[in-house]
Amino acid sequence: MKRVVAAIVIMAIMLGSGTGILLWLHHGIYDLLDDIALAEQQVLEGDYETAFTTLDQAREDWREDEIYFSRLLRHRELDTVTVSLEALPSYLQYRDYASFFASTSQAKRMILHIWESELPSWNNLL
Amino acid sequence: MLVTLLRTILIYVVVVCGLRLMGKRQLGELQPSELVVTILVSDIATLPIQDPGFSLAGGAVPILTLVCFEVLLSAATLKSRRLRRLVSGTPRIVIRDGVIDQREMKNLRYSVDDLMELLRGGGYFDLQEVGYAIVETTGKLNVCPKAACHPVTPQDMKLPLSGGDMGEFPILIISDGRMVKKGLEFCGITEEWAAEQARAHGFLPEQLFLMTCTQDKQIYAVPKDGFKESAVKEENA
Repeated sequence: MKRVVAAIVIMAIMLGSGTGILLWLHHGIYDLLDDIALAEQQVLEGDYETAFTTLDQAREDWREDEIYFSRLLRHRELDTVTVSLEALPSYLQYRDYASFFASTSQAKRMILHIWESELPSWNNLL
Repeated sequence: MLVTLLRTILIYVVVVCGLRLMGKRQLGELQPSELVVTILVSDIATLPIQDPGFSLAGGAVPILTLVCFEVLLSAATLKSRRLRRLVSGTPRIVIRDGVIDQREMKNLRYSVDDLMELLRGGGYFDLQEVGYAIVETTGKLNVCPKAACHPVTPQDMKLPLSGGDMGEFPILIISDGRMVKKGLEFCGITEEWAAEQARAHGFLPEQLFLMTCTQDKQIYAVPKDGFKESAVKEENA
């Protein structure tokens, strides 16, 4: 009977933490996507200094989140996002807008992929 | 994480169904669901070890899920006979009153060679000695011999039994120089009594490698290496 209770408790903890992690991931992912979209808008408007600041803030937030994300998620996808984000300031500095937008697109797609792959949807389950 | 958890449950169900479909021939001593857990856990456990890009939680969650699911399923099978039959199957009688049930053999996909091999493994070389043979849910064959072929027991010979109906069952009371409390409780003796018995055999309790005691207080003691090599059996009724 003790084992059954332990199994129920462990399952409840895993289900609870799984849901909690999903919500936390949603928060972190969409904050980052918003920051990238804002930086893109600022670049399009020619406001490069503010875009630098926005990107710095986004990278800082990502570094903090990545520490926790890497304990739960596959590292390869996280590394792709990190590499894409780290390249953005250099593209901006040398006014390589094509590469800048290519890199933001790659980062956004990978961020969305991380989020979508964690959703308990039929596509992911089957 | 939820995906990992749910996918693990789905894979578990699929593998259990697959093994049930494969039948008893494929199984060893384990119940089908236990075998599934054993196979999956051993396989999943290697993933985070082999691939550093694989998070530890990604390995721990499916293993915990499998183990918990197995415990819950086994608890549920205790309550539900139907579920137990669904998950573990039912024992099948392949020899009844000394006659082989060929239809059951076909259902189980047992050949005569398989059956004879298992009977020989159980010590039955002549089919005519067998009264009943049952294939258990674990795939093991248990045999009940015909009444005329049963081994002779003390009861048949009307012999007096030492140690009563339960016989002499030695219980470990000292292991590697230490008292085994459960053993002492089982025999209904105290540590002092056990120590006294050890001294009666010429040793201190801590000098003994093992000491056993039966229900009727027969002592068997083996000293540790380096002490006097004498294992003594003595009755202290």
